[in-house]
Amino acid sequence: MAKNSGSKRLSRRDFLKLSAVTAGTAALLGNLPVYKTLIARAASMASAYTLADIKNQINTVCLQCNTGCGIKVKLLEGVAAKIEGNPYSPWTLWPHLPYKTPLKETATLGGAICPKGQSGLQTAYDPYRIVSVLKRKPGTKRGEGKWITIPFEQAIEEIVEGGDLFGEGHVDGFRALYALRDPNVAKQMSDAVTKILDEKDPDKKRALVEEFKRTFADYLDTLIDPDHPDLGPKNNQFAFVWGRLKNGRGDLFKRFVIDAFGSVNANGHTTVCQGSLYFAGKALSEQFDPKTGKFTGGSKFYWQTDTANSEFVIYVGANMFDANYGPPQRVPKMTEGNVSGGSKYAVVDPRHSKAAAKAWKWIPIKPGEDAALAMGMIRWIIENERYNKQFMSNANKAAALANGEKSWTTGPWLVKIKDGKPGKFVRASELGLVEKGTATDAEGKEITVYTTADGVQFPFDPFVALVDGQPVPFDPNSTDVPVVGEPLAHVTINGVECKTGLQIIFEEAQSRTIEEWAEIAGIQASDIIELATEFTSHGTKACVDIHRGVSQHTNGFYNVLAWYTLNCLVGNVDHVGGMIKGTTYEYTGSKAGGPFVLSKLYNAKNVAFGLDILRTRFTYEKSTLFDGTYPTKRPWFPLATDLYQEDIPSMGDMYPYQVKILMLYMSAINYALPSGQTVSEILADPKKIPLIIASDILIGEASQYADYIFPDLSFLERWELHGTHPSVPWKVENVRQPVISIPGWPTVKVWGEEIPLSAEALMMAIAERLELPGFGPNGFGEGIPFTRPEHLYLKQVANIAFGEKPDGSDAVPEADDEEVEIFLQARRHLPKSVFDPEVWKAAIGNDESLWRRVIYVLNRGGRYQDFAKAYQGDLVTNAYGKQLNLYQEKTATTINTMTGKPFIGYAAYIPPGISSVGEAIEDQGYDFHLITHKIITMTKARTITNYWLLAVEPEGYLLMNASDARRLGLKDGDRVRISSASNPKGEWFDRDGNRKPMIGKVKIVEGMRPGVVSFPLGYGHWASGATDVEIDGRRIKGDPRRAAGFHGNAAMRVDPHLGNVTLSDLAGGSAVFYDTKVKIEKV
Amino acid sequence: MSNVLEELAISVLAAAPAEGDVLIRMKAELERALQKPEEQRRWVMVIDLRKCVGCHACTVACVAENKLPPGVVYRQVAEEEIGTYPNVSMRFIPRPCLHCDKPPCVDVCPVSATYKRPDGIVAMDYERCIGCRYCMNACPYASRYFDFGFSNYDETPEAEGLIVGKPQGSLSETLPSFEYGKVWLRKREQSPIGNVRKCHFCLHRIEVGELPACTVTCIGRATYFGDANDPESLVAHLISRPNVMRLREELGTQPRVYYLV
Amino acid sequence: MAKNPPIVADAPRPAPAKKMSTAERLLWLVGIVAFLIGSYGLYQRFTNGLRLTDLGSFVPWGLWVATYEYFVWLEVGSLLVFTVLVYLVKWNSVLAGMARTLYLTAIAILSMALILIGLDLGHPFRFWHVFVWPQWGSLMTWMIWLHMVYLIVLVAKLALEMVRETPTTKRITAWLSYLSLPLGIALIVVAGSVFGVVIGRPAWQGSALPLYFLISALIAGTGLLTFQFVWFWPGERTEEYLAVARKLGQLLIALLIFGLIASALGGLVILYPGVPAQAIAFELTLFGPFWWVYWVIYVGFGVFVPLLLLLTRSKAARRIGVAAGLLILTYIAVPLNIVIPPQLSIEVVEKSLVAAYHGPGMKTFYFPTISEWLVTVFAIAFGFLVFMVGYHILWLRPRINHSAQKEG
Ligand SMILES: Nc1nc2c(c(=O)[nH]1)N[C@H]1C(S)=C(S)[C@@H](COP(=O)(O)OP(=O)(O)OC[C@H]3O[C@@H](n4cnc5c(=O)[nH]c(N)nc54)[C@H](O)[C@@H]3O)O[C@H]1N2
Ligand SMILES: Nc1nc2c(c(=O)[nH]1)N[C@H]1C(S)=C(S)[C@@H](COP(=O)(O)OP(=O)(O)OC[C@H]3O[C@@H](n4cnc5c(=O)[nH]c(N)nc54)[C@H](O)[C@@H]3O)O[C@H]1N2
Ligand code: SF4
Ligand code: SF4
Ligand code: SF4
Ligand code: SF4
Ligand code: SF4
Ligand SMILES: [Mo]
Repeated sequence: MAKNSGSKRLSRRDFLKLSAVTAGTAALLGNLPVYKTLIARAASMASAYTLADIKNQINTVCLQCNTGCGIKVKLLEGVAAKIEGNPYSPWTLWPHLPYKTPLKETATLGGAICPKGQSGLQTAYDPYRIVSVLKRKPGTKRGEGKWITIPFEQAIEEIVEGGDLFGEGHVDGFRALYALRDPNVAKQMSDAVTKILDEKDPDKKRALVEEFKRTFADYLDTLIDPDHPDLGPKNNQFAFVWGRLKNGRGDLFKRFVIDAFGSVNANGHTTVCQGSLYFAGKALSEQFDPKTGKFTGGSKFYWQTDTANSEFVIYVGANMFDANYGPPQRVPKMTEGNVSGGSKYAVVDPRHSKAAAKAWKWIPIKPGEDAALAMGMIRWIIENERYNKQFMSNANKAAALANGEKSWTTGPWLVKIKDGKPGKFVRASELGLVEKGTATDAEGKEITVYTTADGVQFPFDPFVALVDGQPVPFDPNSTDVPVVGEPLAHVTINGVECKTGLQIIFEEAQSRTIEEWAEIAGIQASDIIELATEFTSHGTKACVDIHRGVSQHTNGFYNVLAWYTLNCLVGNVDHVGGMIKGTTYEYTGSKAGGPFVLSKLYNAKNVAFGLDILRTRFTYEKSTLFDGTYPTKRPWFPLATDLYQEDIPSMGDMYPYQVKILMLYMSAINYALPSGQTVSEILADPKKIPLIIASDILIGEASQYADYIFPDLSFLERWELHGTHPSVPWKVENVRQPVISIPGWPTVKVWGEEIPLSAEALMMAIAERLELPGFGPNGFGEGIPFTRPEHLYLKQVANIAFGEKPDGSDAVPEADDEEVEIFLQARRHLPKSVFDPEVWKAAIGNDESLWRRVIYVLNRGGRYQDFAKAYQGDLVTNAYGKQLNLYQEKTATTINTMTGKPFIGYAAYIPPGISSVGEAIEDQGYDFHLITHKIITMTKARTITNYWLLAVEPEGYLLMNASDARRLGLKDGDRVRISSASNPKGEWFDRDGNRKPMIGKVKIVEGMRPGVVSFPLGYGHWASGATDVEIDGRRIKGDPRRAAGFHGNAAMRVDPHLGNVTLSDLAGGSAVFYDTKVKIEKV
Repeated sequence: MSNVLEELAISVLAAAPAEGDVLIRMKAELERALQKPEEQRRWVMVIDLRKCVGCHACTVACVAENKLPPGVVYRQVAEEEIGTYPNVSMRFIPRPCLHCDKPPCVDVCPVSATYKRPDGIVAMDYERCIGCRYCMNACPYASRYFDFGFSNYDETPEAEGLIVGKPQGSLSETLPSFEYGKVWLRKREQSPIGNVRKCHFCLHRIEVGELPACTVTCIGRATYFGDANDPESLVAHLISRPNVMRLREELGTQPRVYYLV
Repeated sequence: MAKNPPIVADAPRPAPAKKMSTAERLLWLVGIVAFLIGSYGLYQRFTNGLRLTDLGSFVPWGLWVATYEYFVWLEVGSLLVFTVLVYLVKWNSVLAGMARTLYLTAIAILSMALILIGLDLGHPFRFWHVFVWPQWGSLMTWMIWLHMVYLIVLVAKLALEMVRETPTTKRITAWLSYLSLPLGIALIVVAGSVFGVVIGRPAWQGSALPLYFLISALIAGTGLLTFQFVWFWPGERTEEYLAVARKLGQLLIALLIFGLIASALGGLVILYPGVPAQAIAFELTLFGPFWWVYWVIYVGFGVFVPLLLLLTRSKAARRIGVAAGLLILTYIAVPLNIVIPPQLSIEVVEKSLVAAYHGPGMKTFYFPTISEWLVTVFAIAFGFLVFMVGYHILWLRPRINHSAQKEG
């Protein structure tokens, strides 16, 4: 049972008495013993500086921001005392230590981390962290700030069984939504639904639906809507939405939501972050699948610069010194390059960022017009033939390999032009270059083949490139038949008009003169030419590195394509000093086939199917909701996923169906999102979302609207696999592991096991009560328990330690006795519920050798490829090495459900700031352009709790150019109110009733483009300890320092058509942060 | 240990495109300096303003290392904007105590509670300091801060059992600091409360062969620390460059913190 | 020399039984009440350290240090002038009779000074460190030591005044008096130099301050002397009494004007070469948020009103007494302006540094808090009560000058 007993029925005295007897109770937390004894012991310490002792250090991974730098936490009597960089991690030392370096040699050696990393202690030790399950006080409204503590197991009972939980009528619990439980039935239904989706003919579709209803007559009540089986089962009405979630934990949570509970709704925050950067990356990386003839398997990722080795980088909308991924890892390479003269960079940003201060050139571009600059450069570079012809000519893998490349583009592929518009790639058969026929394959099966005049056979209708003026059919993935085509061509073959992909982009670039492009971008034509010249003067060691400033616009997807096109024009992909991708050690065991192939470790697995609330899993046209009309009630997103801004508004509109239980994890969704006030309004309404459960470490901006808040462990107390970032050339895996345990932290029992109160505990307890597959004594298969979080996490670490070779030749060394001793000693302060060597070892099958390898990895805070291994001559080892879709057939044939027209499939200039239905937005009278930026001392909604950081920057200012300030008669530090057409009052929807005005101080600078104002993320809180709350009738005073400053997101433009959501990029999915006009008034 | 690190530095240097991480090199040099008797060491700090990116990591690292209470700081990073739009730039100037060779702060102390060590560090004797704050007025660089005994958590709630609460929520601050190799707890009106405090080049770290907290965490690799008496040391090389300068030389304080411009 | 003063013995001590006058009662009341109120400040000081002050790391010295300096001026200045007039200029006057009361007053004020400077320390109970580990390179060491020696001399002199006078005691007193001259001057000059040597605060720097301190000490001292003479003189208001009062008044006028010129010159010297930090300090004094401290309190009530009172030809010594009183009260503005504005100038000199970090006491503005005022009230009340005890209980009152007696 949960031990943090303390229900509202007990008086405080009883409560304390009661909790005093049960060990490890929340109440103990408040009592000082731990603290006192600690101080006492510290005082009696003979040799003072014990932090330099390796036995008082644990390497783990920072999560103060998402960069995930390796950190070394120095402990004093089991309390985290100081954080430094983990010297094994490429994030904090350059070059990082050889992985084999004995641990003890690093006792007094640290790496560099940023100020947030340094203040991490204050996130873990925060007075406002919650320690017991909080339930919205019955009879009070959501967000009213009144809570009662209830025992963990009572909370689990309430959310699973439901009932009249708040005296507001019946609320469905998890059990009610756990409708479809039989994996076999689910599988059959899922297949039947696929059939329905694939059926193009409306009548036949309807017939299939009727057939479905007949076949599954006994199960119809498990569906959301039997007439629309493609909405899936009621299980989908449970939605799990997270803000910051990394692997490891992520795998456990998804196993719970998808594989165990059977809901398709597990959505992350990608689109609030740099969505269109990811989904442009996905579109660019879709690969041709000969079997289906489709482009599939694109990975949600993006490229960044090999910072250390590029000679010239254009950083566009990338806040290199203050944010990005991230300063400790990237900055030293930039400063070194600057001073040694080895490299230089330009910054394209309306705001003079700190990076701009050290840049060769700063281009204060007009917000949202980045593509214009890129297009101007593309035009100039192609017209002056300064692009990498070889790279742009390689039409397939063989050509790339033959010419010392690993990747190739669709630039030279011929695209069919129908009435002036580019559509699909032309297929050889359409030009009469191949004959469709049949043949028998190895197994004697009959297959269609396409044969050229000279007898070359293709298992699919091949693509065509122009070689010396002649159309040549080719296989993109062929490794032996290189096809090097003409990159620029506009031809008509057998009456079929065709252009190469690059030709199409070139013509788009030629649609305006350099001067016109400059005009649009609000810069000089000379800027464009200078940038283009420099960019094409460093071979493949020149890059464009882009981030949120480029992607978080309504035209984000196309801005990204435009800049990435430039990277392809110099052919820098996979090159040392070029554009690279992140690579991690495989932790699922699939590559090596062990030691633990996690995808196979299930006793049973539910089958989630149907449409997700974000409408991303299949297209509108395929769905049974399709009635031929556009626009749809809300946009569908066939090219993106994890649309953070769509989660809550979709639930508000109950489109495509109602979500009855929302579980928020590490999310400040209403604070983070542009026009987040609309999100708060929906969250506050139980009629829209009947049950909201949040996992949080405190009462946060979003979790304050929850019905239940379950306390979580901080990043210093938990497991996670943090992965890597694209600018890291080495193969790595960062392992976050428990370093401290808040003394007296409550524990709970699941399947009889005592584990700390945490997000894992929440999910596992639900799984236990509902007896979900994939968890429990046989969760990993007969006799292999999954009853503790470590059971999963250690298997993952074991896989990392074992490596990617089946024969184990890729394994890390075994920790020697000394390192094992250090490992145990360094964790001596952790309670058994957190660290029990026996339990840990058992989790990996008590394999001594494997256990020592696991220790080797844990001691080093992860696994890191050695410095020299990242490069092979001119190319990077961990290369992308695939096709890049400069021209995208898939995108070009996908329909925008708000306009009914297909998306454009290549880099094009599209004006910023248009509504979901494609209308331009004129906000008369709002004369400032609002943008936002991050500062090094603030992360998201999270670091407001770190007083050490607030001492550097206590409130954050609205940056404004001096000339504008003069015009408005503003002085430095004057207070101003920010309002916009969609928020004319300029205020936040705070907790029930209250409104929090967006009033902040201006900082007058020269380094802002006139007419543009920017504010930093992280201030102006109304929760997270900023305001008073009441728990068990006891007032808990808020800290005004946490409410200081302002947060301008509520001023950001609400979509005029949809009304309850920010502007979005319908192609790349981005939530839009930089396309709003605002009014600035002195108050 | 030093040899291992030397080797290590070498092995790493071999692989590195540049000189290898200066942190490794400086660490090795630190180990080397510690072999010598104290009076033969000459600690100096060099800060490359071209490399400082104004990240404030050093500031906070120092606060965390020395458990500095609100109102006390040893190393701010001053930011200055230069020029007018669109020709703008920014300068970031880290400002630790300069450990002057002719330290006015030391001259004025009535009880020698602040003094110049043979190795060049201008140190504090908290137990002797009477807290007259004369040295603060005497320091022309505003490098000294008085510990009034404030806490970041004074106003935060206790609320045992409902939230983590003040006692443990404030551990990041109430843990002892190890300045000068001693254990300093924050007990009311006891040293270092009521004393003037200042940068001490992380003496307690140097002594165990660990670089100063600000130096280790310098993201821009703009901060160098070492023994100027060691002709082979990085700092020795750097301070012989033509582009070094010191703050307000005209005062004749002869700082031991150099800036590269 | 006009006709001798009537020869009188010590003002007769009333019988213990005798009720004290309402005036006296009132004074005791005021003293004790002030002491009690001030004690709360003391309590705060010991429970909250210096947290309840408005002091900080950019403005480390405030009201207490300024008041300390002022008290030093008074306590030393008054005796300097007195000793000079009596022992060097050898005024054959009734002034000498003031000795006892003056010494008593000086000790009372000295106690105020030491209380304030003691409580200004971060660790008041470590004051003795200065005697155990003196650092002779620091002028503060010298100041404190000199102050101690001065204290001893004073006490000795007072003691001698209290015992039956013999030629020996007279001789010793005389020598001590001569000794107290260089000692007092040194103390003042050193006190001034404590600021003068500080290169951290350009506006303090230079040779001007020690001298200025000396002048100020003389002005304040003369003020106190005059005040005491006029109001505490027990004998009849004779011609000679009036003559002395007027002489003192004239001396006061001279010094006041001199002081004004000096400060004006000082200001010019500072503004002219335009050493920014110095100029800022001076501008702050004249036109800063506390311009009125300089203009209203110092120039207005501290200089002009007294001058008016003194210059109007009138026989009434009372005016002179009032003028002197006003001066003593308002002249505190001078040390306040010397101590505080020069520290505020950091705002400008280190603008970006000040903006780089935030926390309590990291501001470039200062105004004494209630707590600081309370502690100051405590110190003054304490000194005042010392005086009351001395004056009313130990009966340390002026007596008629003996030299005059011999001549007769
Ligand atoms: N104005 C402006 N807004 C922005 C941005 C910007 O640049 N400017 N940046 C955007 C970007 S890039 C992103 S990624 C989003 C991020 O926005 P989100 O993904 O919503 O993430 P956070 O803001 O970090 O919110 C995390 C919340 O989870 C809770 N929490 C904190 N720690 C823990 C923990 O350890 N466990 C659990 N269970 N909960 C925890 C706290 O309530 C905290 O507020 O913000 C976006 N918002
Ligand atoms: N300190 C800190 N670091 C962080 C984080 C944090 O919260 N705090 N979060 C991490 C996360 S989750 C992310 S996603 C990354 C984000 O990393 P970045 O995207 O590099 O950081 P941002 O500040 O969001 O970048 C926005 C930049 O674009 C500029 N900008 C705004 N509008 C435009 C425009 O129209 N055109 C151009 N060219 N530029 C424009 C802004 O001025 C700003 O400099 O940072 C990571 N690192
Ligand atoms: S950049 Fe800073 S906050 Fe982000 S992970 Fe690295 S150290 Fe932590
Ligand atoms: S900088 Fe200031 S504190 Fe540091 S040594 Fe020089 S004078 Fe002393
Ligand atoms: S404050 Fe301490 S160190 Fe500074 S001068 Fe006074 S006694 Fe010396
Ligand atoms: S050397 Fe140590 S004390 Fe000095 S600034 Fe750096 S971290 Fe702080
Ligand atoms: S850590 Fe280094 S780069 Fe960052 S502010 Fe300090 S000195 Fe500058
Ligand atoms: Mo993000």
